[in-house]
Amino acid sequence: MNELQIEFTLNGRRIKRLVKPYWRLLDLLREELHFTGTKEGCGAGECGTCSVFVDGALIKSCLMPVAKIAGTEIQTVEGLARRDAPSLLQRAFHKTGASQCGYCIPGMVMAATAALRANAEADRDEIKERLGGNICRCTGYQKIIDAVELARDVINGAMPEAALEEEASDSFIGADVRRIDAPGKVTGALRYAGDMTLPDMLQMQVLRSTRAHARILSIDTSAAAALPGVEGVITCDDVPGKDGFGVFVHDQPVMARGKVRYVGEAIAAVAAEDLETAKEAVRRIVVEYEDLPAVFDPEEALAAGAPVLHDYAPDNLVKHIPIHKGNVDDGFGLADIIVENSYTTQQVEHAYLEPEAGLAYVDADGVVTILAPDQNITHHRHMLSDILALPINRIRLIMSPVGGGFGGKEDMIYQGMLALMAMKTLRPVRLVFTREESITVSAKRHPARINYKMGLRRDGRIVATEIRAVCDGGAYGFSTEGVMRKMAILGPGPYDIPNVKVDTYGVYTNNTPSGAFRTFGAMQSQFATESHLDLCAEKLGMDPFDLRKINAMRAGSTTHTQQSLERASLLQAFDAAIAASSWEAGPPTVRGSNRTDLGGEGTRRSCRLDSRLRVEAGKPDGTRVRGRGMAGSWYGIARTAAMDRAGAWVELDDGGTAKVITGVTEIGEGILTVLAQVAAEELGLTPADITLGDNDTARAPEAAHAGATRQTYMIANAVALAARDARSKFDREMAEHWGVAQDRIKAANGTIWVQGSNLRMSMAEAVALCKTQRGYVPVGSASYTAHHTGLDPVTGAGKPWQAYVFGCQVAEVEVDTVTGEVQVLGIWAAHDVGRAVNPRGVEGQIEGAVVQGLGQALMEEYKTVDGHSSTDSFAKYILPTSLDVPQINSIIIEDPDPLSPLGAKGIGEPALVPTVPAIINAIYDAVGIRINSLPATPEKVLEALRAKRKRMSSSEAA
Amino acid sequence: MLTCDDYRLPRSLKSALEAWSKAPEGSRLVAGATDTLPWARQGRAGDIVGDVHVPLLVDVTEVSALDSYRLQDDGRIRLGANLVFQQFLEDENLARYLPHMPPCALWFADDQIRRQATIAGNIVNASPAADGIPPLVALNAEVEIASLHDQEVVHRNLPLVEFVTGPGRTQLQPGEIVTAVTCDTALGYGGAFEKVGHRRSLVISIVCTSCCLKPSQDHKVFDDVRLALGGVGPVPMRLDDVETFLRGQTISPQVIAAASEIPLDRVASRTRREYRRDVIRGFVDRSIRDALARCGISLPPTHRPA
Repeated sequence: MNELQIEFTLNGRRIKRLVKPYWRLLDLLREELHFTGTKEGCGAGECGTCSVFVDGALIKSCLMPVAKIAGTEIQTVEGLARRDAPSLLQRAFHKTGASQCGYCIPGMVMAATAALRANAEADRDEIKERLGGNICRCTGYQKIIDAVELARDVINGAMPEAALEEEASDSFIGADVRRIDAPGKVTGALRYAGDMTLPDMLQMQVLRSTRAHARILSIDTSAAAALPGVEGVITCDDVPGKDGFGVFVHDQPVMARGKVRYVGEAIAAVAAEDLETAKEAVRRIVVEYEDLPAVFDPEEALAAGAPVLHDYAPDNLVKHIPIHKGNVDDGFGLADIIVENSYTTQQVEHAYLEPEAGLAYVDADGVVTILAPDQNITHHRHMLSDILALPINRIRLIMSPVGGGFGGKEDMIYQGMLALMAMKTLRPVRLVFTREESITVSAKRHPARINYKMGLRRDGRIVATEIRAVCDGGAYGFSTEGVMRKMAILGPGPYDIPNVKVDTYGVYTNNTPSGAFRTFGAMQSQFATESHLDLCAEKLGMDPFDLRKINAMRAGSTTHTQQSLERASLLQAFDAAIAASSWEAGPPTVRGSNRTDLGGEGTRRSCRLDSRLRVEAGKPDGTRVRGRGMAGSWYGIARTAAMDRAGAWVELDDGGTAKVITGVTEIGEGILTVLAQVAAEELGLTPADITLGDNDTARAPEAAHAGATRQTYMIANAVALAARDARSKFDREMAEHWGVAQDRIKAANGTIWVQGSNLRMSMAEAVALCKTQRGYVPVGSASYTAHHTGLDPVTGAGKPWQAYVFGCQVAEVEVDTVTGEVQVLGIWAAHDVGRAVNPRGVEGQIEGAVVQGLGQALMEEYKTVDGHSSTDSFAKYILPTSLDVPQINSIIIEDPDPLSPLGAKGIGEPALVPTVPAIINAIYDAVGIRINSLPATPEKVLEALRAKRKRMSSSEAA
Repeated sequence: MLTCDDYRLPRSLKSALEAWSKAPEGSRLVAGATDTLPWARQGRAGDIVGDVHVPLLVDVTEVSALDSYRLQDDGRIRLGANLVFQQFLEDENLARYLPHMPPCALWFADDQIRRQATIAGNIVNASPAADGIPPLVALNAEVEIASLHDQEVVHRNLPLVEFVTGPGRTQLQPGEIVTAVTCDTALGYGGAFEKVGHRRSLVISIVCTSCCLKPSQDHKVFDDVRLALGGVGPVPMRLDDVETFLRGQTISPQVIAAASEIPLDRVASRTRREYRRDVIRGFVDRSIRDALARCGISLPPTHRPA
């Protein structure tokens, strides 16, 4: 191999290096120079996380052979500004809440910098165009675009620099406190697992199945093991304990055992001194397969005689969840109209920008330690204890910064291999997935086929709802059982219906597994419900809001699981959405062309990609038609139909600061900032005074996973209670010191005082006094419990949650009748969150959820052909870009939960539920076609328009 | 990812041709490398660990003879092979001569890839969905190809429509390098580019349409129209029948509507045929209207039922 000597300038410093001829600029930056602010999201120029300047031009460094950079000047995110003095643009990102998980953000900052360098006067449309090559999966882009506009205005003097600072606030709960983790994200300083190295570290690679269903006759690893530089090869034979993982059923071995059940399943892993050697070793492993009949359709898998995937489930059924209330046959007998329809939803990829990655080592005390972006280290430690046959405290999981999760990083798909390899080699090992590996191997959103039957009275009362959903769970159980449960419980929607029959079935097939994904099944079933209600509203000639209001759950309503609701904010959400969107009432009878509420200030301009052209495109030619739709939604907060709990420790610390220790899982949603706000408020400090401990199973109390929209509800409440505990002990000491009653002690913003006196001191002084004069360290702890009960196995009756949230979205779309393309121009999203601890963070969650919903409604579809992925890259798996997103108008409703010490509930998942049906209903309003099968691609829309024209011409002929 | 034993960046055309003609079997020639690097991955050309190994990569971006563009004496324009798509957006002079290229460039990949991706690379890659080919086909583009004969650089020219023979297939012979594309200029024309994919940035065309046209001075008739389609068959296609129909015709919605019916049978794709037929009809109509608007001619809409 002919290595190349290259010289170049990196962020102003001359560098000379010998490089491999095939390296990309990205490899040189990351692996050789450790400039890890430049991320690798896809390796194919399809995501923009690796954007850097070369001689002043922004390029994607994964597409630049390193030989090209000889003699050039490279600028990376680290070179934009020192990280202790960020650029105006980076500060603007901090201010507007433009970073969530942060993985796309260095690239996004680079693209935004390039945009303003190219045109310091760029308007919003031009900014969006210039950011069109950078994908963000968390934010929905809105706050990113806001940040670029803010920076532009500050740079141009239209806004003062002070606009970049945080607004002063006396109270931290309810304030737009800037994210505490944003500075490290906007500067590229934060290191994710794939950015980390350990001395003497080995690189790991995985051999994966090329067969959908096959018996493994033999695995010959001898040639791999013999390769110089290979330090370890593992297969299922290396598992010392009880092999099996999964969220509800432990049906998946760490590596294939006896047979493979899907393409991409891990079979063996290799660790070597470098990545090239590890890959070469993987190529040398020989697997002898005997193909088995495979099944790729869930209905076929349920049929008698279908190939069986797992011996324990001869019917291929992962789980059936029934919810039966009243008697639907009686209900249908009372109905004036009965409406039936079928709906299908597609398999959807999480597409977090950070591919899976992790490091593992066995520490000096023999503790097997795994560092990974892991959404549920609590559960993974439990499972690893069985798999590795080690006491639970000999296993330690540390959560590395998570570059997006959305449920996809709840599954333990590689941590077991890392642990085994560290144990085998007794050296640190690192595994970093490629994008293709991430897409083909990780679990997806369950595709569902839903048969729907609803009976209504002429006045709009729903008298019976019957839903049957069959869902493809893929090859392993993952979260299927829980997804089926939530899909069923929430399926009929937030409506008081006397007779309900819901049956959801999760089924094994030889497809890529399905698992947890934001809403956990609730969006699939509620997409059907909210589409169906539009059908019914049209038949009844009713406004879609009116139909839903008649049936809306209210305080005192009984849920489908026969739980009596003490509160319900649905009507508030409906009224808020109507008011904010200036909704023009009327039945959903394709009113699009006659509406007068279109194109208002809550919408954006239709995208024409012409902001930089000096000439105008043609005038509207009548081929683009607009319309509006709406949908309601509900959601349960925290773990479903099971007791939920979270713990926290708090210590008032030297200097008037505090340590807050809890196993919280920040996956980008902003929970760390929420906890800092809550702790500051409760302790009388400021958020900057709070030191948050890592999520580490060996160092922090259990707070479990990021999921089920549970973290603000469970963990912020645990932190609030632990802070109150610490404060109460501290106040007791201070009261004794001052000789006053404890209830007169107050503290805020770093000062403590006695009410009605002039006794006061700083918290720093008070903590020192408490320790040195009182001899007391003020520590507190707490656990917060949500008292949920399981469901009756026959009727589904039970109390799955104690807190519910309700929401409503209105969508305005433009359908291009030439191409079938749908642009969503505006979304009005009204959501109850209980209490918004950080309103800007709530907006960020709503915006991100809406755009994920938009992706599912219009473009995203994970496809397989005989079990082989045909959408294994971001070129084929299409995600929304900055040019595809609507203006999102968030309306926050606060209906505090009486059982929550903070009143707060949650927003992470619920905001995604109504987006898809609102968009689909709006398409109907615009052009009179109903898309029952997601996504509404341009092809599907035009096909439906063709069919509609055919119907109309044949009915005219008749 | 793509691996190689050697990477060469020759500075002259002759040394590039020497390196390329002697390159071992399986070697690749690259310019921007924006197609080659994604190609060499898992699920595309990559092996079980997602790698492709080639002996040699010859990179022609340092060959200055392939840079830039110039107007020729015959009134045509010569676009150097290494011209990148972003130049159509940033070079106003170029945009005057090729007014349909800026809207094409806006739809081409994204701002960053456009700084790397070259015009010759887009042609040689020969994707049926290539956005850069239809606008050139419509301007009678010819591909200029260099090779070495007895240590001398020789050139041959081929019409672009003949050069591209199928998906990923061209008439390029071993040892040959594309050095330029020449095409008609369209000074004073209005240009338009329509494209549909599954989103509005960084997306592969399902259908694209390029149009540039020149109205008569009194804005009454079409003096010249150039139309071509991408994404509708194995190779990009010039709509010469529509052009012939329109040349000399009165500019009116009815004439445009009639013209947009003509190419429907040209769809040769094996998938999504009905869809593509529908889109072509609308795109021909819309691109003509957009191009006319850019000449200052605005037409009333033709009503089309939704």
